[in-house]
Amino acid sequence: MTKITSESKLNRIDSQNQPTDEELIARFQLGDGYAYDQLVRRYKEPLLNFIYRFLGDIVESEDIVQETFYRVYKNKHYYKEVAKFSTWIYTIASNLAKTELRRRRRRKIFSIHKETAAEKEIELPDVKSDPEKEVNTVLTEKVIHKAISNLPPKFRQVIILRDVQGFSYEEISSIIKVPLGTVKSRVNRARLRLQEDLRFLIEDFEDVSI
Amino acid sequence: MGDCDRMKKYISDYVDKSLDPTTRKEFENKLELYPELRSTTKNISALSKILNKLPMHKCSDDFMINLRQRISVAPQHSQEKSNMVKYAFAFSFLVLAVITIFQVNSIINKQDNSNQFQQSFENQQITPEPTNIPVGTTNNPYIQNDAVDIKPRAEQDALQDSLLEQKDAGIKPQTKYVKQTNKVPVNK
Repeated sequence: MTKITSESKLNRIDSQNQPTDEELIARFQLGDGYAYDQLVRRYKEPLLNFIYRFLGDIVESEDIVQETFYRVYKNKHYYKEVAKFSTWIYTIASNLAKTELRRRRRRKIFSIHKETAAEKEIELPDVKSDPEKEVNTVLTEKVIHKAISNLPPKFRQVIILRDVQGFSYEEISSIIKVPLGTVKSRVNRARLRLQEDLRFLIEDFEDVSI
Repeated sequence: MGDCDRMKKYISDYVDKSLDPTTRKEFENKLELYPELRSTTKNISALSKILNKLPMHKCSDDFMINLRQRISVAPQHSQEKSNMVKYAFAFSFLVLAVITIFQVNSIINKQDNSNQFQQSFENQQITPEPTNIPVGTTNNPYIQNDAVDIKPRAEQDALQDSLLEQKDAGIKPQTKYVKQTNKVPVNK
């Protein structure tokens, strides 16, 4: 069994004397609109970042976040407290993002030339070039983002949930409906690929101890 | 080298501190043996930290407004949809009811017709038409058993004798047929 106790970023927020997500959705199910607003405020940014890292388009990502919250509003009674609210809402968002990705692939067939032209603009820099060393700079973020985008969707999804969003393996397994062992294997393979692509960036990162 | 590759699958578990003590110890021994494994493990550990520190993008300012608008518009559509569904259900129920009534009606009519046929058939059996076939000589199933009154030979002879006597005496015979033979009826 895994010893991972790391909770997602969202649940860390809940522990500060605020109502939990499950309490809020329960209140919303009883007709409390303010509880719904609180849930939206709590989740809109994490969801936006999750979808953005997955799709790579901020405008489309925001539309999907809107759709996610709309579905939560419409299907509030389908939520049962057997699962965490975060798992439920991330499953909705994840399914919508995957649908969007499939739609894009279909569109891609008709516009291959445009796509390749766009890709050329943001190629990964050479390992020996001079990249930004600070993680929070725009260029570095773009490079990391590009490296993540190059991963196959099934690896991309788990690495975002695990390392960007901070979910535990068990939570990821519930969100994407895949066995725990498969999740662990995918995370490991995704990390191995990413570290290959981002080696130039990582090696300059000082705050590392194993 | 193969050992190093085998150990690579444990890197994430090692970084996440989720390896069991035995495997962890084995992994740490390999870390000292293989610099490549050590370097990859170090990179993955750093990568996790980097990804965790990625800046968060913010939603646009009108996110909540747009969401509220979307929610306020949506119920009207869903109301219209639900009304349409209701009408469709009502209509199909009505059609189904009419079809059922017709079916039941046709079944009842069929039953009535077969009863009438049975009745008339039974009536025909109750009042058979007079026939010239001598009593007891037919195998026709439509003739009632009462009509096929086969009497013993001696009794028939006696009956014939009495009829002949009655005829001689000028009395009209009461029975049409007398004998179980292919002979002509007595009164003819």
